[in-house]
Amino acid sequence: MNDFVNNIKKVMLVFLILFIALISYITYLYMFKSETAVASSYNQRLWAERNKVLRGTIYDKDMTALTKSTRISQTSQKLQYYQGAAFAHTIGYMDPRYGLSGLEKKYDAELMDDGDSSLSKFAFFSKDNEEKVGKGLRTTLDSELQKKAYNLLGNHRGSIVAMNPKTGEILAMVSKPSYDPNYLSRDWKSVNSNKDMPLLNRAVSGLYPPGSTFKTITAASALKNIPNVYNSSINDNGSLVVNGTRLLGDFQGESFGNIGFKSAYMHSSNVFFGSLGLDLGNKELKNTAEAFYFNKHTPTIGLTIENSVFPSYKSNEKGNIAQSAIGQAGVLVTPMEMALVASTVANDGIMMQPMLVKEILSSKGKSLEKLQPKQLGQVMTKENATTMKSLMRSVVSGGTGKGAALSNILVSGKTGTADHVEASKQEAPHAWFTGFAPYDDPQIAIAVIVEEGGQGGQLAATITRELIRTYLK
Amino acid sequence: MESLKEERKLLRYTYLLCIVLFLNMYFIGKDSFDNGALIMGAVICLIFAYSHFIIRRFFPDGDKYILLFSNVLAVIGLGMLYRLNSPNALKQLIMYAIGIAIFILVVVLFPSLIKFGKYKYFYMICTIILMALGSLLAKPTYGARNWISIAGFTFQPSEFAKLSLVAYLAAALQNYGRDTQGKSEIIKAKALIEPGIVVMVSLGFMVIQKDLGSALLFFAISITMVYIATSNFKYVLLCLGLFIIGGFISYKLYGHVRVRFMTWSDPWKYATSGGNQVVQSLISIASGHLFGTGVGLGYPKLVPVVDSDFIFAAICEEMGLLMGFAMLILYFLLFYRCMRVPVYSKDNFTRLLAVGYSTMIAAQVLVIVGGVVGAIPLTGITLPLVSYGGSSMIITFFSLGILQKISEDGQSYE
Amino acid sequence: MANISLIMRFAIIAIIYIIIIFALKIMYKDIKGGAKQKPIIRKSMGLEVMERGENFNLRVGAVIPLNDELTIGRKGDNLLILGDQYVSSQHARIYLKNTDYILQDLRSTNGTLKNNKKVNDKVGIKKGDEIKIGTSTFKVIG
Repeated sequence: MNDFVNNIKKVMLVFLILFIALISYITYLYMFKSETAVASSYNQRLWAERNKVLRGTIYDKDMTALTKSTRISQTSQKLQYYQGAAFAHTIGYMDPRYGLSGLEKKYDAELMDDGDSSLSKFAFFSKDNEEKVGKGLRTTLDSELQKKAYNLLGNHRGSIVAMNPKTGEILAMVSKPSYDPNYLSRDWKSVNSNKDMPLLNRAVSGLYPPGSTFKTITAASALKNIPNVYNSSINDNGSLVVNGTRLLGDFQGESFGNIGFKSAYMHSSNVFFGSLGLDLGNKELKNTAEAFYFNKHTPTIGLTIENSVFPSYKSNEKGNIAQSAIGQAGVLVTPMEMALVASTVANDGIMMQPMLVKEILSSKGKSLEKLQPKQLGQVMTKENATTMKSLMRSVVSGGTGKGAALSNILVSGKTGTADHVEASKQEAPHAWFTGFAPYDDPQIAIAVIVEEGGQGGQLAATITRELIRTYLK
Repeated sequence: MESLKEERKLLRYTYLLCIVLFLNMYFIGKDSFDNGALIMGAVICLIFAYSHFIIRRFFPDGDKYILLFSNVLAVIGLGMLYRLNSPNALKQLIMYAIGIAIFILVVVLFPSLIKFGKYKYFYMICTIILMALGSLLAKPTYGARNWISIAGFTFQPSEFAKLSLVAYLAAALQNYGRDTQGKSEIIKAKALIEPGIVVMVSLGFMVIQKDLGSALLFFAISITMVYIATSNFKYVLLCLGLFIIGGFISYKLYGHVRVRFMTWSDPWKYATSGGNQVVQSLISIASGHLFGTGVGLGYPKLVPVVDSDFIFAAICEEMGLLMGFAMLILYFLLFYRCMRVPVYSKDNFTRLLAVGYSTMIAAQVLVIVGGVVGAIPLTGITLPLVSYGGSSMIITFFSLGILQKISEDGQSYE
Repeated sequence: MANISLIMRFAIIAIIYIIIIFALKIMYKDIKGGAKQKPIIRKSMGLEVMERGENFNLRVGAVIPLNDELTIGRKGDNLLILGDQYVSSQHARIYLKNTDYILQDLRSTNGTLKNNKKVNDKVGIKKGDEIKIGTSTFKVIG
């Protein structure tokens, strides 16, 4: 009989162990695997939650609605994007099949939050048959400018970023080719297989060699590190030769002869700036670039910016060092970065945090939160910034940037013609223009890149001119 | 009488649980307050109060907690079922009432179970007929070939076969100790041949019918009963060995066994096909975190078969992982009370019978919860007392009734 | 409205764990008590001889203790042997069931009386009951 009781006890023990093992397994699963489970794409719960609330509206800076959401059924809604392809990359889209992008993704939590944190949620007698609407976003975008920028790029691929240098507010951000988010399911296949990548937001994710627009940074670095560089000069005979090796040459075989700092910048002398690069050395130039947020993550409101790249070179890599000073070699930038550079010069050397959203609103339009402009740092001294401002003015008034000049507004800027090699084929260079206006009290800073657009002083400069004309009229 | 106070306390908290649960559902009703929930809650309270009263009043000698724990589990199940699917919940309520009635009837009507130990061959024949019925008449449902439709009600004959198999084994093994006392190994082994064959034939039937869960269950029950009867660990090892061989053979032989194993090894890889159920179940459980999303606020319906096999996932999602753990603890406590019964019983047949039915319930819980969380391959077993399913409810209450009856007959209690 | 569930979920979990804790306490007490307690509660009960009738081996006032089982009859293998002619060879037995004693009449010819009522098969007996078998009468004491 005792034997029997012992057996029973042993069996109970076995089962106890099995139950404990099961509980432990579940605990282990919960502690380590639950997050991946919940985030998995097979989890439809988040979409069900998202669709419970009618998505909030996104507005431009003047409170004109850019999106509209209508409810189709209890579990789905339809989003309309009023401006279609022109705003596609900034606003993004929200679709159960294709996911989220742009502001729809960045501010997903706000747009699907009806903000009802009141205790009435728990009240016994309220009935929830009112349509819940998410919070709204007021962006910094200027619709007219955005549309104009989109049209100005015409059939070219490229990107335009326009911002307010004093506040960092993004006035326009365009990337072409684009797609119409109103027709996602119809166009998804062709959009995805298009080798020009319309889904890519070139403004913040496209990395290009900056070409001569980088000379702004080289100049800034020289002003900081080389005493009396402003008054220096060299003999530019068309090529930069060091130890018998030709490192680089001026554009289309030009040569400037005896040329000083200001002239070299105005006329974009590669030889001058290449030799500046050698004088500075890779380390100092890199430090300046990094002060401009190269090689590191730029904080933003509402954007994700790909890091611009300034490479490290060993001191014997003279060719690369010289080339990097004129924005070639391994240097890569986003159009947003170049806009920030122009903006910093225009803003007395203070770089502002790029912001795409200025206000969060309740579903009824009441202001819930005003997002404040923020300084990212004093990248250049005010003195040096003022010097750079005047240099950039001279580019437009008498240098390579005449194409951007307006009769009634003082435009400043820098051209860039960036050589690039795609699939080991030498293509037409990218056309760049970065600039700001007006000279006294700048209101707008712009970066334009036209892929394979040829010389920067032509197409890119004229686009900038028209944008400034539109904005400052 | 002290125990009466304790029982009353537990009973009171069970009432409270039932009330809170259904009150919750009252408030979350679709368009307005859901009166049906209140009625349902009240009816359930009445049923289990009544059952406790009857047992207490007329059969004060037996174990009280078996019924108490069972009722707590049933309340949770009915609550969740009501949230998932009200019409089914109503059917389940009826089944619950029938189950309790059967429970009481078993305790009242059956004479001393000791006498039942003589009908070994009757049980064997029943088992074989029921298993065969499953194969002959069944229509494939949910991948298993063992459901039969009679007069509009579907049931699984193999479930009932489980009952008679345990009875058979109890009858066959009851005299093992006495018959083989001091005899040689060979005679000891011979005594096990007949039950061994019956078990293997039944397992075979189940594998053919693709009811792998029941096969695993039978196996667990058989091993436990053999061990209890023979006290010989060697036989346990032998059985395990046979099981592994059998499993291996069926793996090679049957595609559906292979599929189950593959999807178990990495459910996420097969998330769109065979692994879909487990993946959704895991997501559901993870979404609930410790305290759950709150009744009605989660999305348990995204899990397939959520009202029967996967109801555990729904409970974890909406009532929390803590509730899931609580249920497992309760099932173990129920098992403990059930296993206590054979200790106090005088007769080998009833002892083995009690062990068999207790193991049946506990093993079922382990197998299905294990499958639902992906610890073991998924099988089509129901969670006793909680899953939607008439035959499951009836069989569980029948076994519990037998256990209660045995505890009645047993020696002194309290 | 549905958000009331957010509060109630805590209540639900609290209640279930209260149930579990109580249950565990009870089980624990049970395990502890079970080790000391033997399955049989020794209630010391006995049969006191009130009238010996024609059974001369009985003395009035004597107490026959009731243990697990007391067999009564004329045959010699009974624990309580009553020789009078109205007693059958296996007349009756008194046995312990859980905490009570049961008096079972073993289909005796002349029957067994409890408190002057005929016993049909089995009946429970308690302190103070009067049992009459043949010509002897006993009282249950304890």
